[in-house]
Amino acid sequence: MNRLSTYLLVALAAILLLLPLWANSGLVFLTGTTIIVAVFALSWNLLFGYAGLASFGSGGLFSIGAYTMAVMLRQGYEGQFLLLIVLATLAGGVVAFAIGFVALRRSTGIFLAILTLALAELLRITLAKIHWLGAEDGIPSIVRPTFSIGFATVDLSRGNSYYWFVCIACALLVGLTWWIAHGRFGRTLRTIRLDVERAAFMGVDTHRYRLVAFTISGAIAACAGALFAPWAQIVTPDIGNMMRSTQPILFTLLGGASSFWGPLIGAFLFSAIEFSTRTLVGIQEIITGGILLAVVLMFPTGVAGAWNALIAGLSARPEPAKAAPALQPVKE
Amino acid sequence: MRLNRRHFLTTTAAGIGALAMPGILRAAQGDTVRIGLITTLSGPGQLYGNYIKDGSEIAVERLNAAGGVNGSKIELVVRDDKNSPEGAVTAFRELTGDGIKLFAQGTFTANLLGTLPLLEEADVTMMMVGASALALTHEAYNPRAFRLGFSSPMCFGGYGNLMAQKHPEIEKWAMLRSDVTALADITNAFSNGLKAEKVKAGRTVEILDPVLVPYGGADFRNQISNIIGSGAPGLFNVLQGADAISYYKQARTFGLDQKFKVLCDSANEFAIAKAMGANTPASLWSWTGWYPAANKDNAVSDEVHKAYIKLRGDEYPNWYIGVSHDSILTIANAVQKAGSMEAAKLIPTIETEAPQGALGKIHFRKEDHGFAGDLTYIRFGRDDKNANGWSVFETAQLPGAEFLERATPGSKLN
Amino acid sequence: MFTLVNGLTTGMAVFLVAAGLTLVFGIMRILNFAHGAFFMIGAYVASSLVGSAPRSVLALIAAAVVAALVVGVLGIVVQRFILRRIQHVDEHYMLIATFAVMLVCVGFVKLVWGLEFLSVDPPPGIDAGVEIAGLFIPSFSLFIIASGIVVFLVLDFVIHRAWAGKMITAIARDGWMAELLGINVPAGIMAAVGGSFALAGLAGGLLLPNQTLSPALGDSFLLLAFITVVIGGLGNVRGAFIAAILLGVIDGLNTMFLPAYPGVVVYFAMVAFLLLWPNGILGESRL
Repeated sequence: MNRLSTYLLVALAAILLLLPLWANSGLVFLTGTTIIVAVFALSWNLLFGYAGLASFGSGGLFSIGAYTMAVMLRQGYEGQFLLLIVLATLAGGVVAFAIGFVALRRSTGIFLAILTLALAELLRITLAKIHWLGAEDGIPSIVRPTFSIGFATVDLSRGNSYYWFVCIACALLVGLTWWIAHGRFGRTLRTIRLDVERAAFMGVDTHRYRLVAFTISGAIAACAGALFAPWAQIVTPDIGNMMRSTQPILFTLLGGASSFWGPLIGAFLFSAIEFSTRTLVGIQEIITGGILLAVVLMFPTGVAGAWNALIAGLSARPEPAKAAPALQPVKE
Repeated sequence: MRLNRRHFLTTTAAGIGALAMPGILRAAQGDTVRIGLITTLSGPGQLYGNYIKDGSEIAVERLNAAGGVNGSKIELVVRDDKNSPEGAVTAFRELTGDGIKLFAQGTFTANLLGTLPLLEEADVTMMMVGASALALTHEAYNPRAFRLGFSSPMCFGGYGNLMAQKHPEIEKWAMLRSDVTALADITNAFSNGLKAEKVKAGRTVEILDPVLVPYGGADFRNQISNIIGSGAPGLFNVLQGADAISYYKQARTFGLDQKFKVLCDSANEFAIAKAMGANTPASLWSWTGWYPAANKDNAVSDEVHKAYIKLRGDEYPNWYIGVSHDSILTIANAVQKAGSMEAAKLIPTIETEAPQGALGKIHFRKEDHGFAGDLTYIRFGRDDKNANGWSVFETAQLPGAEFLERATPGSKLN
Repeated sequence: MFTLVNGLTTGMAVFLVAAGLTLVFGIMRILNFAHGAFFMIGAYVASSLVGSAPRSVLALIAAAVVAALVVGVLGIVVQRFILRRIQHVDEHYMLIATFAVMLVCVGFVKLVWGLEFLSVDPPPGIDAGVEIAGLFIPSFSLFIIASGIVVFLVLDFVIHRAWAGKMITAIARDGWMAELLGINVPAGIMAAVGGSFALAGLAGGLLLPNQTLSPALGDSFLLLAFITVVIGGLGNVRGAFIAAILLGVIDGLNTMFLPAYPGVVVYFAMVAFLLLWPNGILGESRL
């Protein structure tokens, strides 16, 4: 990563951390939501950008994490909040493993996409029928927990403390994902994505690697869901609907799938568009669709791709470089 | 490329400047009474959200034309809840962050359940516009919120009661509803109402289990064939919006009109007739929250009706128009009487006041802030003599208070 | 028995929508999210032509054909100005583009036709029912079944027998080689894509009297059509035809044996099919 990008990243992180001190509370809430779904999108891209597997049912795993957290908090386990996050993450990981174990050997590509989509829809329909989980209206009034970590008590119920908790937790998740993606494991995944047969020939157990990636991605998605439940303070079956599952896809492609930071950029860009057009009610679909189209047509490598091309152009020549080539295949 | 520190700082400052925009908006509030309206203005629920917005805007226009509230103009700040609880919460927090203390919110229950727990901290007062779910005044009861809507036991219990009175000869009823768990309240209330009235009259009635149809489906013929085979002369249909119209369309071929003596629709009122025109079922009952022709002696109702015709050129406004109008009216009236926008002063005022609205006197039960207005039922159907192909045959009204469920604020109704 | 006939009706209705979807995939390798929206625009266009009460079956069919032409032209515009410009980048960008097109289409429909529900009656002649062997069947159901079969036969003939189909197949299999052989590839693709989108419009027109018009109309069929296309084998019209019938019948049996869970078994069936035949029952096809 170049230096300008690093500076920008640090600046953005600082803005995010300091946001509650001066911004409108609606903007703070939207930002918190965006941070969580950005991490969710990141988990999806770990699967897509690195392992080359596109899931259309990631919303289901997000939902599993959120419901696990909501139910456990309702049952009064708020004192073990950190453990609950681990539990929800494990739940997502186990479910993802089970699905991956059955499905990955048999189907990839669009079949996997549709299969996962159907599974997520089934989960949503099932949740909407269970009275104990509040059926369609879900579980409302989820508490933001207070818990102790040995020497100190952490109270996340007051003011903006949960926002900062989300910031820290998501920063850790981003760090973890970065570490996975850029380590040996991530490199092997990329090899598999580029050429499955060659990777298998080199002695890589491609199925196992894909399954592990599928599981990790599912676990992180569920973890994001677990963080989301006390943030929104309500979970409904629609938390895992088709729109939720397409969210990470949109964010990733908008931001750029070939860049690690792409999904995060996409998520924030999308929220910024939504927030700045919030008063234009009634033509929301045209605005969102139009902007998406414009971005896809102008930056087919995502915003991150265009940015990198711009930086590359700038550093090659000091004078204003020519615009990033609009039609250019994804560079590997 | 090399960057100096100054460059870095200007970039950051520009970024902060862009994000700080709402901060500037926050400063812009004059001497107006601002009411936040949160409703569904995108996606499939937009149809109803638009009605709520229209009704609220009519209310603001009328109130401002009459001099506003204690000399201040009313300003409506409208936000889309994007039909999700987090969308509603984002809008709610944005508006409370801007200092808005008065809210009206409506269409879907889950979106209200998302904002209700936040009322305390933000110290605001809220009207729940047209909401019918029981949870809102029972397990999720919040003293700062008022339900200006009709609870299921009230409007559909009354409905069953009315049908038992009008058609004492019918001893077997069939029901059909969308596969949405929340709608089970409606079929239950209807059958309870039927049974209660029958028992009073010393008769028995058999009510079949509801036949379920897929929500948002395209084909209902299998279920239609089932329900016609049931042999019941009475039928109660609980489907919503486009589903309901598709259903009546497909059922027409099967001769629904001839197979059943009495056809009842839950709450789609004129949406069916407006879409189906000359192919509307021959006779169909429906509940409605507001029907101007049934409120002839109510001047407010007439004025709202006229204002809506002027706005949309539609003679048959949806009931949400009246309900949303009255929600805004109730808030404005309370602010005027209490001389304050503080929840602590407003809540007792709303509890004791009964302003004249389009629906009649707007009064809330003190215990759980439930609304018990008049219940209106209409019977309409195909009419070749009328130019639009249908007309309204009769209306019936029942006092809602008789059917309002027990108040159990804070806990589930059993 | 009625369940089976009705399953066939549902299946053919879904096939009408799925046919164009699977063709677009066969030609351009994209799963078109906007397909449901094009279907909806076709329905709205046709409804504006025939009003709420079409005078005859012919009037309805004529309106459906006009709707097909309009949507076909719209499809060519989308292909020419959007899809073609990004066909060289990752195929998933096509996905996001069609998703965006869907949003714009829905917004457009809201602006032009409004949000109120619209309804179109079956034309005289197919608005009643017929008794066949003691079984009551709505004649409109027969109309849908007939339309589905006709569309299938025509498509099958064009793809496997006619010269145009062979040309398109050649382009879809190897565009570079086709070009070398003197085929005008861009024109061929454009015609094929226009045709596939036109099918969505045609379906919208033909199914018009079946359900209510609302801006959410596209959603009701899109998911079922997706499932059909995938079970049948992507790009495979014959597969989609069989899969659509299967789904219709399964859905019918669902209402018969599991009435408490309408519309749920389809998903289970799909998961089972995908695990048993991961490439669809008739296999994937590049046309």
